[in-house]
Order: sequence, then C-alpha cells, then structure tokens
Amino acid sequence: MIKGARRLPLAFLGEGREGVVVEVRGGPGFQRRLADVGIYPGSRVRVVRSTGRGPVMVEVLATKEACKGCPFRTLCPSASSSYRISLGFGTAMRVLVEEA
Amino acid sequence: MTHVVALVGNPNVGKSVIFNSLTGGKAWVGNWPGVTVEKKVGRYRFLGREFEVVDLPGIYGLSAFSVDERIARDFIVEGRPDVVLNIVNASNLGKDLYLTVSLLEAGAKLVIALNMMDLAEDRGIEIDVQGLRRILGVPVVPTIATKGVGLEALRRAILSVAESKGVPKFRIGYGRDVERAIDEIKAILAGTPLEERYPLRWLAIRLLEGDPDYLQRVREALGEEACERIRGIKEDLSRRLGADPEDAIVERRHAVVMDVVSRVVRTARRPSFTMTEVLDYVVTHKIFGIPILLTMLYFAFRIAFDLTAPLVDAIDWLFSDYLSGLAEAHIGSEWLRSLVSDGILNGLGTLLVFLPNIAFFFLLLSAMEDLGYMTRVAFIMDKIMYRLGLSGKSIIPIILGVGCNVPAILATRNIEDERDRKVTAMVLPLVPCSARLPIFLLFSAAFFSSFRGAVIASMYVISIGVIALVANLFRRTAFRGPTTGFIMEMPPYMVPSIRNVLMKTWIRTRKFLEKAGTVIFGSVIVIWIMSVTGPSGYIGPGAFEDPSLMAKSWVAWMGMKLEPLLRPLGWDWRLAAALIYGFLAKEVVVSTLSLAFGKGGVALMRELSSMLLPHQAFAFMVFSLTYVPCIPTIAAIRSELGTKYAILTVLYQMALAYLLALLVVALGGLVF
Repeated sequence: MIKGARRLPLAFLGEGREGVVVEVRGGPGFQRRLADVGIYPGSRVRVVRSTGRGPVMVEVLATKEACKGCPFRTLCPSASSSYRISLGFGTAMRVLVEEA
Repeated sequence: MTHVVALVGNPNVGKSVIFNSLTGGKAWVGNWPGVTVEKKVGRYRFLGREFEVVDLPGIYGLSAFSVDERIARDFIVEGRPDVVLNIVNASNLGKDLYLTVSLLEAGAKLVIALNMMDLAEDRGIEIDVQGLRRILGVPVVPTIATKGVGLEALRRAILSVAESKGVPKFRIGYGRDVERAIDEIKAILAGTPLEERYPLRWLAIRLLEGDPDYLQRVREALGEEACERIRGIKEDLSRRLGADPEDAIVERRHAVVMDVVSRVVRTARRPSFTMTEVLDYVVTHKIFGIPILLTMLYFAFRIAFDLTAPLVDAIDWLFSDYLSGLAEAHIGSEWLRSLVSDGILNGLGTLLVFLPNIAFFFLLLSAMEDLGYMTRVAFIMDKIMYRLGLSGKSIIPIILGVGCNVPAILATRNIEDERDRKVTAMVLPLVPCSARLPIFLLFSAAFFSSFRGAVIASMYVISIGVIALVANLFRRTAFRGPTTGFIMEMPPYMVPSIRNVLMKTWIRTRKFLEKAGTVIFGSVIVIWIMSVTGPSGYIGPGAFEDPSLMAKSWVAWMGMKLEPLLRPLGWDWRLAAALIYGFLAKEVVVSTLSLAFGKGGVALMRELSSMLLPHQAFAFMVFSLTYVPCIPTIAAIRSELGTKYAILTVLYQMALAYLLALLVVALGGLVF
C-alpha cells in the first residue's frame, strides 16, 4: 500500500482518477452483486464520469491479483479486460477506494 | 425426445439475436411462475433432433441477488437443462467469463458462443479459441450473431453436448484452507437427499459464500443442527483466513478469470481512443449530455408523428369512412349496424390511429437501445430522476409514455428494484400521452388563443411536478426503504442489427395491440350499450347523432349524477359524460364533447367559451391530464403489478385530479 494514500468513497474520486477498491459497505447480497460486476476489495477502477451527487461511470480494470502470475504484469493488457459500468450515487458512496 | 437448451449470458451480449437466429424468431412468450419476468421459449430442428430453447434473463453471476438471477440459477441448477448455451462478448472476456466460470462450477453442461468476434477484432483483440476450449474443457464456438456467422457450428456443438453424458470437469482450486472447509461441508451433505439435487462441491461453495437461499434449503432438508455445523465451519475458516470466506472465494474466482483471460487473449494494439470512449465523453457530458438527449428525442417524436401522418390518415379513413360506410350499407338491423360502426369500428379506429406513431417510436427506441445509447440516457438522467423520487432507469418508460402509457408500463420490467418499478408504473399514467393532446389543443385554442402554446407546454410542466409530488409521496409512505442501488452495465456502442431492431419493434407493437385490443373491444361494447340505452329503456343509435336523445342515455344519466360534484368546477353533465368516455380511451373525450354539444370544430369552441371561464377550462385540462388512466392502461398495470395496485392507481388519480381541479378553480376565482 502506498504511503499516504487517500481512502475515500468512489463517488468522490475525481474523473480520470484510478483507485483500488478497499471495502464495500453493505450486506452480503449487496457485496455479492457488486462483486459479480467486478467491484470487490482489490479490484482496480478508473472513474470515467462523475456527476456530483449523481451516478458514477467507472471502468473496471484488470486486477493486480490477476496479474500476479503474469510475467508481463507491467504491460498487462487493459483493453480486453476493462469494461464500463455505472453506479448510482448511493452505491458509489458505499464503495471505498484508495487512490492509486 | 426434445433437448432443452438454456440460453444464458450477461445483458447486452447479443443473446436475443442468437435466440432469434436459432429459433427463426418464433417464440412463445409467458411469465416465469410467480413473477412477472418474461419467459421466452422457442424451438428448432437440427439433424432430425428437436431442440427447445429457453431464453433466461440477462445475468452477471449466479448469486441470485435479483429475481432475474434467481430464475436463471434455479432453472440451470434445478431444471438441469440438457445444454446451457453461454453467450459471451468476445471483446469483453474479462467480465463475461465470470458468469461462465460460475456456470461451470454449478455443473452446467456448457457450450460457449464467443459472440461479437468482429467487435473484438476491431479493437485489436485476438483470442486463442483452442486454448480457451482446452482450459475450460467445453466447446467454444466463435460467432458474429448479427451477421449469422458461426450458427451452424453452434447448432452442431449444442447437439454433441446434448447427446454426451459427461459433465465438464473444470474446477477452481481455492487454496488449502478453503478446500478443507469445502470437504468438511461435503461430508455433512454426502448421503443426504441434497446430494441428488445439487453438485455437492458447488453447494458447499455456495454455503461458504453465505447464500441464504441454500442455507434455507439445507435447513429444510437436514434441520437446524446441520446448519449450525456449517456455520461453525465457516467461522473457523474465517478465523484461519483472517478474512471473510465470501470475499476470498469471489476474489479467487475473479483471479482465475483474469488468469484465463491473460492466457488466451492477446491485445495487438490499443487504439488511443476507442469509439466508446469518444461517444461516452460527448453524450454523458455535463453540459452537452442533456441537450443531446433532448435533440434526439425531438427528432424521434418529429419522425414518429410527422412521417407517419399519411398512415394515420389512411387508418382513420379506413375505419371512420370506408369500413363504417360498408357497415352502414350492408347491415340491415339498425342496432347491429350502430354497434358495429358507432361502437366497434369507432373504438378500434380511435385506438389504431395511434398505431403508426407507436410502432415508429418503438423502432427508433429499439435502435437507440441496440446502439447502446439508452443506458447512457439512464445514466445522465439518474440524478434528476432521483429528485423526482424515481431512478435513472425510469426515464425510458417515461419517454415511451409520452407516446402511449400502455407500452410504457410494460417497459418498467427493466427496472430491477421492485419499489422503483412499482412507483414508476403507478406514476406513469400522469405522463401526458399523445391521446390527451387533442383535449389540450381544443381547450387551449378555445380559451387561450394568443398564448395557447404556453398553455399546452404548461401541461407538460404540471405533469413533471405532479409526478415528482406523487412519486416522492409514495417513496415516503407505502414504498419506503432503500433501493437496491443503481448498478448498470454500459455496453460498448455498436451498430444495431436491422433484423433485431425490427424483431423487437414487432414484439413490442404486438404486445401493445394485444393488451389494448382485447380490453378496448369489451369496453367499447359496454359504452355503446350505455349510450343507446337509458333509464327509460332503449333509445336507439340516434343518441350518437342527436344531443337531445343522448341526454336520455345512461352515460348522460351518470354525467348528471356527477354534476353536483363537478358544479364547484363549473362543468355540466356534458363535460362529465366526455370524461366518462375518456375512461375508455382519452382520445374520445373530444369526439364525445362534439357529440354532446351537437357541434364540432370552431362552433364547439365558441359554445365552450361562452359556457366556461378560462380558469374553469384550465381546470378541465388539468383534470384530463391527471384523472383515471384509460382502461388499457389500467389493464397493463393490473397485469404487471396486480389488481391491488391497479385499484390504488385509479383511486389516487381520481382524488388527485379532483383536488388539483378544485385548486385551479379556487386560485382562478381570485383573479376572474
């Protein structure tokens, strides 16, 4: 973990910023639902569009975990494993990220 | 012997295109038992064998968080289809393979359709299909469904899997601690009736993931004691891992997916800006986003209303001139002639004149949906809709509702959250549909000639205000509680397939016709009977021509009974009768008025303006905007939400309309 990294809700991570999900606050159903679309502790996201007190559009990126075994982890292709989803403001407030 | 093929995939992977190509588009549409999620079943023959294809709702995983996921999971796990055809987006393997892996773990006999290969190619993505087949141990068929590529190979793969005995052997190793817990749970479950119903390893994993549905099933089958032991194992594991077993399992599964992806996918080049990035930047822009949406909608409405004008005229002519003429000429019995021409043809005609508009609107909407734009619309509108007490996904039904409320209510199915869905469906009748426009046109021309545009526009503004009021009220009372949250995939933009857009348009239009057609047919007859008969008995079809005869009918009688209630508003029985007819379909209000006053057009306007004060007329417009939904709309609410909600909607709208009209008159009384 980077020293002095900021931990904040996904809703407040600025546009174009990248972060690592550290916590999803909610019941098991909520967590699982988000995990199914790739938002779970350890996954990496980039904010495409953030609308203040509105929804957030994020790009879910290949996770670090996935690249552990990969010899080219620094060159890890993101196009094939990134995709876009949007989360409502309430949902985005319950996803805590650490800015990368 | 028919093989059952379940079609499963994430939303927006081209599932419906593949369904249509496999089955030739012929489908039986019903509902899954107990829920209003649509069940689509089709058939095809291949090499002498019969296949039944069941289209499952689009899902991301098997966690059964939404009704859709539960239906899909139960069908796959308990229905044990002969083949599960998993459609994945080749350009998006990282996300889609999560479902694939979950299906394999559940012991599904899988065939994978690697769809949208062309899109993957465009993005410079190369996939080692052989490698993927080897790793997963199931057939993988590359397809481009929109162009019909790979379908033959797909049918072949389905056949060979359907007739083979084995189940896929793919499994994920979860590491020593989790594996030990899995084995311990398996030991508890082994030899019980559950062993026959579920793959044991899968069930054990589900229990470690804390799936409440399966914990309940274990409780039912083996009792509380077994549940206690499983909970103990889970807590033990949690301590050993220093983390929630659930997180560890999901994380591991994602890691395996990413590992598979990194082994089979090679990205040759990454374009500096993809089409999706550019378009998303523009259409979700803070400043341009909403103007772009409004422009698109403006053109959609212009096209839907202007281009179809000749067709509308043709249908109008067909029903009100040609067919009625035929009926007049060839039916001898007076009352039967009137039933056919004044009742059935008139009623069907007023409904069907809207058909071209609606079909065209559906066409444009389906195209925008397939393009990937509609999810962006939901995104940019979410914030505004939230203030209105709704969700971003409510915007699509509302846009549809401006055309006609009936298909709009059917479109609420796409809203996952039950409360959001119900509230949206119940406020939808407050959206001024095109059938209410003639009322606004007539009254604004008669009373507010110099600024009638503003008066008509005010109806739409009032509508938004009333929707916000009612939705917020519902949200704070009967439908209180947190929403499941807005989580929506933003699929990459794609050129829509004409075939698929046409198919969707046809299915939606047909549903509108079925819903509206059956209900209107019955109610037309009821209204006709109430018009040609009265407290004094049979009056005869003269009531449709002669205002003095009409005054003797049951409709007039009801209008007169309601008069005391409406007197504070300044309306007489004729206006009340028109509103009663409006119950059938809002478009007949104006024609009933001209019938009741015995004159139409400018003469009717003059008569109205001599009878009512401007604020009383405005109150009538507001009342027409908000009072009871038409019968087809009520039928749609009933079939989507149940009788209780249909009655609730009718009642709240009656009360609301009356109160608003009183308010308008009271405020107007201060001025005039």
